[in-house]
Order: sequence, then structure tokens, then C-alpha cells
Amino acid sequence: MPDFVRIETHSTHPINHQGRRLVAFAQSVSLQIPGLPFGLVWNRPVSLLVVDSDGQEQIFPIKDPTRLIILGLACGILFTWLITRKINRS
Amino acid sequence: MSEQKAVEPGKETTTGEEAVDLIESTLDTFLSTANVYAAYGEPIEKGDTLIIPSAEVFSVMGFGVGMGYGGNDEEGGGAGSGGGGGGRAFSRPVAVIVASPDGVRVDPVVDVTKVALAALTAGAFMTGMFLRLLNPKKALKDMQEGNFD
Repeated sequence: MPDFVRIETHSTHPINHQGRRLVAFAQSVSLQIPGLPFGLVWNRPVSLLVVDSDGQEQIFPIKDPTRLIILGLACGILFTWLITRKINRS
Repeated sequence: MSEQKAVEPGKETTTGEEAVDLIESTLDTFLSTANVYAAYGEPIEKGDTLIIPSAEVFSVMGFGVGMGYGGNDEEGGGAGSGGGGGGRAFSRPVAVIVASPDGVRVDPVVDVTKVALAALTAGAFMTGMFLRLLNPKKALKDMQEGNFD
């Protein structure tokens, strides 16, 4: 990974609630090319860690259905373009 | 923003250096937003239930600066500098974490507007591509040229 791209996973401070401890994780991707006055930061939630009062740990992944649907549509566009291009050529 | 001043012999202008320092410090501040609290909101407690909203945040920022010098000591000379910048932040809700006495669950949030717009765009694009295949003008041209493949 180039030095100007940083991918980091951060966690929140533990939140105590009803005998449980919750810790949320987020991933950040930051881009800053040295010498260029340009920066980009992308933060997204990743998962949640829940520790019960008896010490049992559970991890809940945080899924993003909107992004999955949009990725699916983008794949559909790409697939359609490839198919029509193949048909045109043949 | 811009400024202009006469260049005094023997004295160097530091306007350009100050602008670069300002840009670097602003970029450092901007990049420090890459932290977990940008993705998670303040927990909201209502009775026995705790709600934590989460969102995806995308930020971009850019700057530009320029400076120039002209003339000579006899003519008075001159110097000018200018700069500008801009940025944009996009955020979108992703999920809501709900902690209640019944347990903890993560409820995903579907951005219906975004999905609908993307679906309309994709549909229009795919329809356009398929209609090109069924183009009657193209078929007629092929027939006239004797291309029956």
C-alpha cells in the first residue's frame, strides 16, 4: 500500500448499558498525496462488539445494503455493456 | 483572496510560505477527521433502550495557491499572490444500533432515494444500449449494404 493511502480501523470508547459493554468499530481510508494540496477521507462503520455481563462476546457486522444494491446495479450496467458490445461485434 | 505590495530591496516576501503553511495545517486538520466518531453519532438513551446511529462519511478537499513577481527595482516592482480552495462532505446513514433489554440488534438503513435514482439511471442506460441493438436504421443500412449476418 502506498504511503499516501492510509487505511485504519478505529474503535469508540466502551459504552456501558444494561450490564453490557458496547464497542463500535469504524474503518477510515485517507488519501493525501505528498506535495499535492488535496485530501480525501472516507469513514464507514464496520462492526459492533458486545460483551455481556457474563463475559460472552458477540460481534455484529454492520452491512450497508444501499451500497450493495448500487454495486449490483453498476455490475448490471457493466454486464449489459459487455453483452451488447459482443452482440454488436458478432 | 489576493494581495499586492511593492517589493523592497533586501526584504523577502513570506506570503507564499505562509500560504503553504496554512494549506498544510488545514489539510492536517481535515485528515484528522478520519476517526470513528465521524461514523457514529452520540448515543441516545430512551428508557431502557440505547440507540446509536451510524453513517458513512466521505470528505474531499483541495487547495491551490499561486504567486508571481514582476518588474525591477527601478520600476518599483511588484508581487502578488492568491489562493483558493474548496471541499465537500457527503454523509449517508448506514445502520442504527439498538440495545434494549431484549438484546442488541443492528438495523440497516436503506436509502430509498439513492437506490431509486441509481435504478432509474441504470435502467435508462441498459434500455438505451438494448435499443441500439434493435435500431431499425442500422438494420436497413445493413440490408442495403447486403449484410445479412
